[in-house]
Amino acid sequence: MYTYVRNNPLIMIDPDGRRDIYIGGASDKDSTRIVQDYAAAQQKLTPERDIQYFSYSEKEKITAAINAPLKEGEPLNVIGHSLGGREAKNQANSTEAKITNLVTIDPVGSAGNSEKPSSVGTWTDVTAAPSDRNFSDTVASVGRTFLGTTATSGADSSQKITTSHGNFSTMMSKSGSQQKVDDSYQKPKDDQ
Amino acid sequence: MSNMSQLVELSLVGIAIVLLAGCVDRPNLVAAHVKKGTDKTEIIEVVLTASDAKTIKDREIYFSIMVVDCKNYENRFPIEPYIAGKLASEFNFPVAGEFVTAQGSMPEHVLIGFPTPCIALQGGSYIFGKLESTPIPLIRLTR
Repeated sequence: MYTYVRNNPLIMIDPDGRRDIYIGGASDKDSTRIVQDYAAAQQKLTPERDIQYFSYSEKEKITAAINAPLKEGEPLNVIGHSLGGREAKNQANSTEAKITNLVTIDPVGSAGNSEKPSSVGTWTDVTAAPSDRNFSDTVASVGRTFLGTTATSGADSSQKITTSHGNFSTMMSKSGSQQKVDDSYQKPKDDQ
Repeated sequence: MSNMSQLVELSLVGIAIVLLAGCVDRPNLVAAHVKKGTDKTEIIEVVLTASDAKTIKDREIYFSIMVVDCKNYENRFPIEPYIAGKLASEFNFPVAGEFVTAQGSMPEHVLIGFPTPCIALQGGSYIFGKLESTPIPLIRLTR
């Protein structure tokens, strides 16, 4: 019945370093809280992860978070929604850090060419395909009019989910993106 | 979409943002309950007036059911709300009658971290400003 509350948080073994970076789009930090609350729930459910949330406009903070050292083999997942998806792609284009999963959820705005950045292990792109448009879809359309469309043909996985632009958690769950993020934490545990 | 309709859409959005971005809706919550769910979950139910629910629907306000500690509002856990079995953020839920109940679930172990649990609604719209309610105590329903 719910998507951002999962009943089975993983039992982690290492409290240091492992990092999920969530980047919200326009109005997220100050009003809609769509990605902000999703990230906050993840932090409560998996306190052993270093989960950080930023607005798309906090470019320097995002860069610092992505480039902060991780232990060898630990995952770094960067998840962005809307303008945050563009920022996630832009950050991936310019970092030398190894990003395990880049997830762009219905990104808005141009972010260089469509190639998968060399820093990225797996790039998952999700597009909202609403059956009934709402304000969020209008806002996304307006954003693309002014800021362009994110080129995503280089993504390892591209999916269309029947929902509106604002339903981030639906797109995260139905696309399997949250599962991919969770799976990235399983690998070190399996090695033991 | 034609250039003209795009221009009209952009103009309407711009005007709405200017006029309404600073608004804060403050719904008065009627009651908040918690009951055991299945598989080690707790079900949170929040009763609000149909009028407030209609405002949320009409203004397309994204919100979370926020579990907070009554004595420490910094300790909080957001829950994704459903109304009448539909994700609230699809904005197609019914608002007939006097009251509307929003519902969400959380793992029971999370609620243990809230010694004096309260419930609030918090969120906002892309266009029509914010939503903030005053926290009210969370009452446990017996079976």
